[in-house]
Amino acid sequence: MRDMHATMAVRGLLYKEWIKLRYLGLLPFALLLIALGNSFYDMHGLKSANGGQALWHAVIFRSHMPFEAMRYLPLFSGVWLAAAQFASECRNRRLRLFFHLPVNEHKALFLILGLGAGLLSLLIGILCLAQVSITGLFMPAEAARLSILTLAPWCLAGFIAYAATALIFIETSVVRRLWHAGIATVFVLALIDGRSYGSHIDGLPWFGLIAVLWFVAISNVLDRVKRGRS
Amino acid sequence: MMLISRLALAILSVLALARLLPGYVGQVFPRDYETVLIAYSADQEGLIFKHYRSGNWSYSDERGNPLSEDEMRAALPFAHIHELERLGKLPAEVAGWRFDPEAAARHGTRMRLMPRQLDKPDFSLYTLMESMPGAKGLQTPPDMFRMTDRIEFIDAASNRIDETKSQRYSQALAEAGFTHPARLVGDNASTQKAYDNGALLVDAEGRVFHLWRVHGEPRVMRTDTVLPPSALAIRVLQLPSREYHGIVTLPDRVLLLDWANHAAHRLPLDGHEPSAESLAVEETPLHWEFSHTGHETGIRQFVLTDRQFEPLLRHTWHEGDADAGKRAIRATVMGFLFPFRLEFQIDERTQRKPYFNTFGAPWWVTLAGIASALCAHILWCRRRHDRRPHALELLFVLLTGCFGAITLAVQGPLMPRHQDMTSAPLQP
Repeated sequence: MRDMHATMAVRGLLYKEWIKLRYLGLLPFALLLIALGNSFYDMHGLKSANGGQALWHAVIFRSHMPFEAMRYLPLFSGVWLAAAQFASECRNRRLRLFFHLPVNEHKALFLILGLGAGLLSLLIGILCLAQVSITGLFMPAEAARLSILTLAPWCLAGFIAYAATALIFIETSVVRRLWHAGIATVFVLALIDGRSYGSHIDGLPWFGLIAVLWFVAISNVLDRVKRGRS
Repeated sequence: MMLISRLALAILSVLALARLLPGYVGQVFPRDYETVLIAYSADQEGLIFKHYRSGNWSYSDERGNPLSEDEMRAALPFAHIHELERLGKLPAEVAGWRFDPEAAARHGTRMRLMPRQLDKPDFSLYTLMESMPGAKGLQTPPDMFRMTDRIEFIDAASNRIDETKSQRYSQALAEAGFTHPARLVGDNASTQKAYDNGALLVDAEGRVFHLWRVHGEPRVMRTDTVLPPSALAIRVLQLPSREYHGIVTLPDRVLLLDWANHAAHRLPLDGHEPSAESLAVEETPLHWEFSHTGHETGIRQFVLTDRQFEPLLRHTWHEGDADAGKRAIRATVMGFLFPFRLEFQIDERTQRKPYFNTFGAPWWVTLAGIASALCAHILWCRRRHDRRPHALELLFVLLTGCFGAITLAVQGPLMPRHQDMTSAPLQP
């Protein structure tokens, strides 16, 4: 009986997430299409106007990034998806209802986070695959590889922004909300700030670890809210 | 699980504070340290110092006598040849050498080797332009090459491998005894140079090969120079004097490859670390001048050699006592306040990643700072939570100093009291 209630609760949670994300979750994908189009036409325009040599020269020797428009896309998507999922969940202290579900609140939280992070991963996967294909149309594989390594920190910034936004929504104390926002800004700025190709290659494992820490950190904030300790 | 989660958030806070706080607090201290450029005056047979502080330049000779800008220019005619030419003050001779502006320009190479050139990610695509372009002059080639188990030219217009050309050049390299894969490649894509000197390749065995494109055909020179596996970079040079083909950077030395047979000549620099120090190279018709310095060390080393790199003069410049004192005060105060700092970008590297550094304060100052942070944390726990801090929290503050104390003050204890975890009712 208890298992059946838990299954029903999980189904209910999944349905609730579907309702929250079915329209709002489309916006990042629409922006992705625009950014990819921009990247394609940037390269295509340079090549058709001045020849392939000029395009290669601009990218390789002047660090021109045709995918520059994607710098803030994962970041925006992370904030947007987390806000879509958690704003309604946490408004007016509604998160309390969360603790009365017949399913462990941490499992439920990670179900929601998993869905949001999965959607973000899908977006980032499409972004990387499409960008590799577009770059591969105009430039050798080395350029496509370095483009992805340049996009990688921006994508990590998206995951950090997602986890930090969720954490800020779950947090009840205003001071701590500001604190978390400030900390997240430090890491996000460090990731999206590079102006040359491959500027974060050596640091990617470290920043990946930092992104994981952000997801791990959410549980304790939820626990504190549950215990009513601000 | 909750402990790991709390620790995760605390570690993130400490990292962010270590990135932010030292930067802001460091602004309080004046940064108007003196830096100096050193050059050799052949006429005066002594060093000339160009001092820079707070946006202003001043000049002095080796004995400390101040020089005006005109006197400095006259003492260093090779470095200021264009200014002296404009002023009509070119000397008739310098240290017994009849001044020839053409020879001075031909032997007027200036190079800067920076540590950040060594870790810059590249596309692993290189240019090989026509070295005998005739009347057209040097032009950017329509393709680039990569080194795999052969040399492959990729055409920029079609983004396809030019098989015919790739086979021709691979064959030429094979005939010269090149062993793939290449370990290092040095090219120079600029067309703003007097002539093209092809590309330098280092094969899997460390042997240096020189590749040119002459009238569209490959010309390969197998040299007798074999570099150690630790070689970091090779650059092709196009010096007007045509005395050296390239420059090689190793972890502890810099080599120049001579024009006649690519033999390696070690630059006589004591204790130079190319991955941490910048190196300035200046050539005159009479001498070579080298000076190297680390970032914000307050020390610059200068070496004067003859044309064959035999050292004639060495000088180590140390910043003045006033500047050294300011640096020490800054290091002490910062070391007391913060046990370490975190930066994501440093001047010596292009790579952005977490770089942890201390401030160079005496160890006991840092220890005193950590002890103060521990006391502050204990007081805070007593006043705010009416309890002693848990041993784990003390350990956390011990390792992270004031960053940990501030973090725990804002985020709450790592180990909340037992009753908080068990008996506190759920809030409806």
